[in-house]
Amino acid sequence: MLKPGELYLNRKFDRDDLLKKIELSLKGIEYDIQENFGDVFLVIGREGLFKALSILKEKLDFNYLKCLTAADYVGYLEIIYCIYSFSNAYSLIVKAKLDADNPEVRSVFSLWQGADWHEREACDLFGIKFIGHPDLKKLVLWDGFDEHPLRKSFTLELRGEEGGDA
Amino acid sequence: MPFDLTKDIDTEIMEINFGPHHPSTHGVFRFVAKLDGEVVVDIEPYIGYLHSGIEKIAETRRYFQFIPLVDRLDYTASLTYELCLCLLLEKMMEIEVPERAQYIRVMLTELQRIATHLIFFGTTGLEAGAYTPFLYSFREREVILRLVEMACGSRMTTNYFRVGGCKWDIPEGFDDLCYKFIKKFPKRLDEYEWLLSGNEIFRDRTIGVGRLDADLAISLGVSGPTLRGSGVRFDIRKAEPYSGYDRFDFDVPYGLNGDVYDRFMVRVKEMRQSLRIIEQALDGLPGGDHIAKAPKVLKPPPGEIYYRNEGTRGEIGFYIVSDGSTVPYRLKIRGPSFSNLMSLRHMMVGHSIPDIVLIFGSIDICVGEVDR
Repeated sequence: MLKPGELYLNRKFDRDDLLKKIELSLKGIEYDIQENFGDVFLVIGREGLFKALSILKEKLDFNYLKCLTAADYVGYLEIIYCIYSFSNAYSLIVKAKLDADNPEVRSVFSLWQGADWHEREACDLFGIKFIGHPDLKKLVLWDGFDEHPLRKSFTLELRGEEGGDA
Repeated sequence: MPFDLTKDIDTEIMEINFGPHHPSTHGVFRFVAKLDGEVVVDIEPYIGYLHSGIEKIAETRRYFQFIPLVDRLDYTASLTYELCLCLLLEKMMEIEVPERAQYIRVMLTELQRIATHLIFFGTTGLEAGAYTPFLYSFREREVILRLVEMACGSRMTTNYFRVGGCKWDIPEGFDDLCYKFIKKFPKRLDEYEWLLSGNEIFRDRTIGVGRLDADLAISLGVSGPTLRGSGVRFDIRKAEPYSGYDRFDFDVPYGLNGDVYDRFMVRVKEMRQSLRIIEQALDGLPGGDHIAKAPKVLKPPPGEIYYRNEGTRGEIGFYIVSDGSTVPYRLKIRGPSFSNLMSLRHMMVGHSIPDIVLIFGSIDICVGEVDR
């Protein structure tokens, strides 16, 4: 990291360097590297996910969680972490598959405190349980609404007796 | 000033509810403050009053139909969201944007950046108990809104940027009025500095209040002026230049203490820098087309992408999963205010009620992008 007040100028994202460092530090964890539109994606199994993320944070200094979200692929869910390193200017997207029926994953609140609301939101909208989250209650939806709107099984048709203008 | 909590005085914890319709909450946001005497010991924010399920709606709309909807996220700076979505789609579909369109985009987003910072300036004055700055800043904001209306056709929800460029070229006479504004505005900014930044009472109220460490800010995912106020001089316009920002010469203001005053000053200084960018863009405005030849029906190739740019409040990000069809399979919006709000508890604990109103104002949230 730069000192306070030092400007973060355009530093080119060195892909080969990043891939080499990932290979060195993630020994013993199964993963798959993908590339999409210039972004590097790391696809990991659910078991090694937390360990990989903590190694990425501690060793490669990915100290900033840009965004945490999920996507429903009917049959399985995918959890997506977009992380960034201020010191190396690396961007990385880490993905892992989760069960559609009982999606559970370990919370990354202990790594990035900013994961707090992102995880609560994903819990609301996809029904993912984050084990170890300090307070996993409803964030954007109201209490008593027990459906998960961003699942593909939730359709925008007329809902309820009065219906809506969906 | 933070208070010293002494344990020998045993007082009962009292809960006070702020919002969802409290004037200090800038929209429908609610938090419950737990007080020990006059000191806040804990707060619990509640959001979701404005949740509109816009990410679900996105899955049923074509890409170009979704551009007017992103305007509603941050209604005071709608062009920054449009810009991010258009840049993302252009990157996916490999569309080259004409230089003229890039300049127009930069000019208008910077104008809106000044307009949002002016709202921030005025409301911060209100929260500190000064009414005059509010009236002054809204006078200048009106001039900007007229310029925006002249170019886009509407004042707030603009719907102006298109994939490949802009909807139409800027009208005749726009540059004259814009130059007039550029000439007048620095003097007005000096006036503002006399009103608030140099005001003894205001400085006493804000310096040292609501401190946020740089490390904690990064861990929380804070971005934009709130992050720069804590000493992390990170601006996506410099760190990952987009839309030709690397052509313009501007500075990135920052603070070192991470208190309310630093966050306030970062925004005031940013207005001057935005003005510099607008002037350079107007001077060097190239001729040519205002929009590239882009397909009428947008069909990005299958794949996933995260794209971000510097909004007025911080990092605006879109994550899109495309399956090659005309509608996004999954679209996630990362609103800067959403992440910035998580720093609220860390800033407020240990301060009194009048201070927490100022601290809340210093994050400068827009509830539309928090709840989405």
